[in-house]
Amino acid sequence: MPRYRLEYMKKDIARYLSHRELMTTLQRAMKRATFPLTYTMGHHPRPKLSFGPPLAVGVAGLREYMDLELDREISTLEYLQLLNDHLPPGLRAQDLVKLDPGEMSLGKFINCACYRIEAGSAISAISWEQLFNKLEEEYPGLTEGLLKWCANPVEGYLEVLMQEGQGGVSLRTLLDALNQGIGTTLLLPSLVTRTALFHLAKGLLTDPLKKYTRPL
Amino acid sequence: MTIEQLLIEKILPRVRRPAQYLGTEWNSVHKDFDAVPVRMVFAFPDLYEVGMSHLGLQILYGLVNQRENCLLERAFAPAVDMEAELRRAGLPLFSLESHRSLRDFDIIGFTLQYELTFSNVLNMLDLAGLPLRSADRQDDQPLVIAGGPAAYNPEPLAPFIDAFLIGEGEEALLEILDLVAEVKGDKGRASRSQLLERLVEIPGVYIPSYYSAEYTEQGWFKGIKPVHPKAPERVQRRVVRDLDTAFFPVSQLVPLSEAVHERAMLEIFRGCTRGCRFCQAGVIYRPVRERTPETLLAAAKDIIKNTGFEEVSLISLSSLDYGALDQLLPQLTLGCEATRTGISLPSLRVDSFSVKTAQGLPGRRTSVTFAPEAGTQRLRDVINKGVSEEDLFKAVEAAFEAGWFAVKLYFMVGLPTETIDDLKGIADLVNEVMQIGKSYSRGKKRPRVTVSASSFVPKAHTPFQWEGQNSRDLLTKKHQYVRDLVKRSRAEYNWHSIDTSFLEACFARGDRKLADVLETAYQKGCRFDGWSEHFRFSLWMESFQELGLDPVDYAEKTFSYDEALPWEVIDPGVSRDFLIEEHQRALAGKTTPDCRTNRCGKCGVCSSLKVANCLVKGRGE
Repeated sequence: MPRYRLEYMKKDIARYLSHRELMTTLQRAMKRATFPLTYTMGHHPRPKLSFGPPLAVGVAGLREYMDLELDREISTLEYLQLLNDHLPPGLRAQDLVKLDPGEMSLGKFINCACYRIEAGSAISAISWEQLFNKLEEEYPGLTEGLLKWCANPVEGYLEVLMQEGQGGVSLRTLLDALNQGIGTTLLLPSLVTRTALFHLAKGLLTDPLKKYTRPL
Repeated sequence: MTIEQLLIEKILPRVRRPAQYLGTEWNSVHKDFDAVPVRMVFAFPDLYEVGMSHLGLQILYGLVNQRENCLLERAFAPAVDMEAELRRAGLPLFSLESHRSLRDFDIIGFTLQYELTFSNVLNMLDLAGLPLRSADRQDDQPLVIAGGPAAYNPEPLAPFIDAFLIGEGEEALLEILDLVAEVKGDKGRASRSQLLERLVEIPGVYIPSYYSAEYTEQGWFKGIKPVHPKAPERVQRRVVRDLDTAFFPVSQLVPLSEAVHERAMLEIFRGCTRGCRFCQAGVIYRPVRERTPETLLAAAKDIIKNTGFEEVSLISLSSLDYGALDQLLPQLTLGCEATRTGISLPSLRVDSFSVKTAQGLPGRRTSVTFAPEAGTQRLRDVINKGVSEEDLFKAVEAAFEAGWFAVKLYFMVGLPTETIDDLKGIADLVNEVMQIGKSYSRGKKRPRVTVSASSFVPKAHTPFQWEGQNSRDLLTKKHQYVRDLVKRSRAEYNWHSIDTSFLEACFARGDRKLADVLETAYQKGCRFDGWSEHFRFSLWMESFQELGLDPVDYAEKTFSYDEALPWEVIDPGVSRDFLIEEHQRALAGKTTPDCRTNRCGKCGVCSSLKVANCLVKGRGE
């Protein structure tokens, strides 16, 4: 059975969907869009869909991924359009590609994520170097999980590249740590956008559609 | 900032399950608010997860939004955290689609599914920035209407609601909207008093301010009299004669945030004439009107295509009684195959046919539920539940044989004429069911039998409307007694909160005086009374006390036949004489057969409402 990988966007008000709600919404949209889904066996058949790392309620995602198994080959262009015709506002299908047989699952492939936190004026006067060093004492592993960060005080955002999944810190922990460090409660998940997901190996970042690879 | 911006930026980040407030569900209808002349908001006085599972919402939403000159948006009771955010930010309760204040609509229409949502009705009016009482609202403020089963005793809500619509809404609501369009003309808002003057002419509309309630010197209810020349003595309920040609929504709203039931709804028929004597639905939805299999199959196909739901549920009061199951199910199953859509039946009749039918349907079913309701044949005859012990055992055998090892049994405690033998009978039945289960499991898998017991609540317009509820103490003792016996057979026993059932009984048969109690309890903070985590019984008791009323006088009162009943201003079509006769037959332990398959029981519905049972089998003959 052919497998496909979908890249989609979850933004605007759709950022308020939980991961579970998002999965159900996408599944139903695919049914409406007549995707030839394949199902698990048994009394309780479920479509064979697998999702990338979940996003917390409130967090937007610009390049999110899911894999689907279909019972025949499809025209990806046609079905991308069909899917977009059946998605509620805030969700957008961006790309659909056929996977090579034996391609790694999303769960195995994705091991780091890039987040952008709209911190506004809260971040301008801060020495991030000092802050992260201080926070490391209270949140062990925080800086280790943070592969890279950069703050843009003019536009008021902080961008971080973090390990995702095993060994990484959660976004929630990062936000808690930052709020504590800055002394606010302002940094809510709704100010965060996950801008990209990658596979990091040997210092190289590769996107899940394998469209590009760049050094860390 | 608009409500929408404030909501998205300031409020949604702070509340639980924010997806329920987005309003962008698939099949939601977003019209240009300012360009549509007649705007109504469907106000569901409970949480999104409950309201989105409600068929009436789906029907009216589709029906009204089909019309070019009308729009119908939704508002649910905001969860407690959302209410706090709204009040803190000084924001009004808003509709989900346009994010407009409820105050901006021409009509606010509440559906009353359950008495314990009444405090939420008041809360939603208050959150809309409207005075609670009709008399205190200005003439150009929205018309507040209400319908649904709990409107069959409208009296406890009488001062708060401008007009009640009694009965089915498919035709009557459109008549109301037409009238609003006419009276409103090109003004910004129709005058409420002018509207009411015209609404009174629409059959099924009850305008409580056009009536005055009278009481005896002792404070007992004496009667309701029209005080307006056009107000009818009694308001007869509305009924749709032929359901097969009536509107049915095929573009149903698909919840974004998880609802209690996540499924497509296919209403296969309306009404039930089995005649269980405690059941209000059995009276107020008479007669039986079945849709044809052709209509249903066509609708099911569209619904599945338009929603993408995983399951379609065959909705009615007793779906296994549908006259053409043998035609409908095989074809529906075939139609569901490609999309792996499951088919579910909301409840099973207590017999082996039901179980075998359910077994043949695609989709998951982890347990089966049966409702014998009472523990002995004597008491089942009293309530006219046409189920024998043998039916139950055969049904249970079929279920265990089919591999369902979880069986749920519904019983009611505190029914009229109940004795200790009837309570013991529940335990005996449960024990027998457990033994049957064990014989099938042969030691492999332990059968799980769960008993769910409610307390009898007398409801308006039923043969048991004259009966008082057992006292709370007695109900507690009865439940404990049954629980202890049932535990011996290692079945699980759950019972509903007795305080909740007590309050439900007060309001189910209450009069206008309860409006003050309701308002007081609401002011004290009562909300979501049907939810155990929010229910504050002591506040209710305080409220009764402050107003010098005793709730026991309402819940436990046994009426005599010659007393006037507060809800008799509503005429359900079923005659009072029939209800009296049924009550007497109940006390004598005599059953009354179903008029679908036997002779007419003379309930009066068909002659007074000019309708008839409309069965698939008899169609076109």
